[in-house]
Amino acid sequence: MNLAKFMLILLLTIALAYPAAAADGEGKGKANDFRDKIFETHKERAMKWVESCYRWAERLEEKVRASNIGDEAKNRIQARIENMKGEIGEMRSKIENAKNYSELRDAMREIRTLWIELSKQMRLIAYEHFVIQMEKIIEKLEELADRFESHGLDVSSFRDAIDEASDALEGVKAKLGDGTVKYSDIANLRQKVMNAFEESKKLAREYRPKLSDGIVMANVSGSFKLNGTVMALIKGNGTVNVEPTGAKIKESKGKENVIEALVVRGKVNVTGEGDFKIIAHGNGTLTMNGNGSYTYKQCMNQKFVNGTFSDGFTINFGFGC
Amino acid sequence: MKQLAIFLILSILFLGCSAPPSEKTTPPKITPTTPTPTATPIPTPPSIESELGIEDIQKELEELEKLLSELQELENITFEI
Repeated sequence: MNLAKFMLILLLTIALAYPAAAADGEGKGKANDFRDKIFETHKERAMKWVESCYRWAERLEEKVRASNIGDEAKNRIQARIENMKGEIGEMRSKIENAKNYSELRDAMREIRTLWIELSKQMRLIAYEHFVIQMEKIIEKLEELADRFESHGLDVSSFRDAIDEASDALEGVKAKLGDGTVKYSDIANLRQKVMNAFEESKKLAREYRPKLSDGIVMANVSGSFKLNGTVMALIKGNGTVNVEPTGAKIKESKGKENVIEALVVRGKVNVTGEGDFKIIAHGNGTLTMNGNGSYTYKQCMNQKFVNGTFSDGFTINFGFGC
Repeated sequence: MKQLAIFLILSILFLGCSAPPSEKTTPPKITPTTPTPTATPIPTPPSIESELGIEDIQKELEELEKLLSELQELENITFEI
């Protein structure tokens, strides 16, 4: 009787346990299928991400190669990008070699450790490139300010905005040097440069030289003579004489012989000795002795002509337009 | 009669072969054409903004912005799977 009871209990236990075990096995199989599916999805996503990282590095490299920064900076940045690409390649191999969900999970853990350092490098390289380009843009904006001022426009707001951008640039450069630069510093610099750029766009709408005018922009180390009916800006270090003196519409002097900005308008005869930047619109002649460089258009609707000189050079502008 | 028929056939064949094709006989029709004036493109001077380099600065700023925003997107990766 006891044996019969025992057998009955055993049979009942087997009957109850078998479907549960079967269901458990089926569940594990389903779980494995699910893991395989998400493994493929995650691997694909990780590969896309790593490819994006690589393409980003390549684009940055291309931009650095095409930029007109100095060779020393260019080589330094390019070497760092090469190193960065190598590390991205290493991350790509880890993802590619993962055969299943567990291996991919382990690979991603290793990549996370690599990425902490690599993303710092990427940021620093991008920021360095950004700062170099911003410096160049600020230089261009300063040239534009000179050009607008030489045409008699009020550039005070524009110059203030450029000064703010220059200050922000110096701050970022210092932080870049000691490795403490943050995205917020970069964003602040960008905003300051954008503000200055917006000012330049406003002035560009006011800057409408006459088609009958010519324009000359020159740097001279030596002496110069400018005469004619012009609107001009002279900056530099040296002595300048303007006749008639009433033609001066702005004169800003620095220490000793530094001329921060001298703007003249009308029929003038200006002579100077020293190192100068001269920008003039109108009809006139600029004679330079010494050495320097020049860019000019005889008429506004023509193309610029550039050149350098090491002895002397005379430019007639605006005549016959 | 037979000879006449042969003569006529040969004559028709001879005339048919020796006659120049009608296209050759008619000279090409030359219609006097009046020369139409072609407008020569006048080079347009670059806009002031372009000449001042404003457009180049704008482009450079946009490219830098794009490069930084893409880097931020890359940094948003999650490694937990």
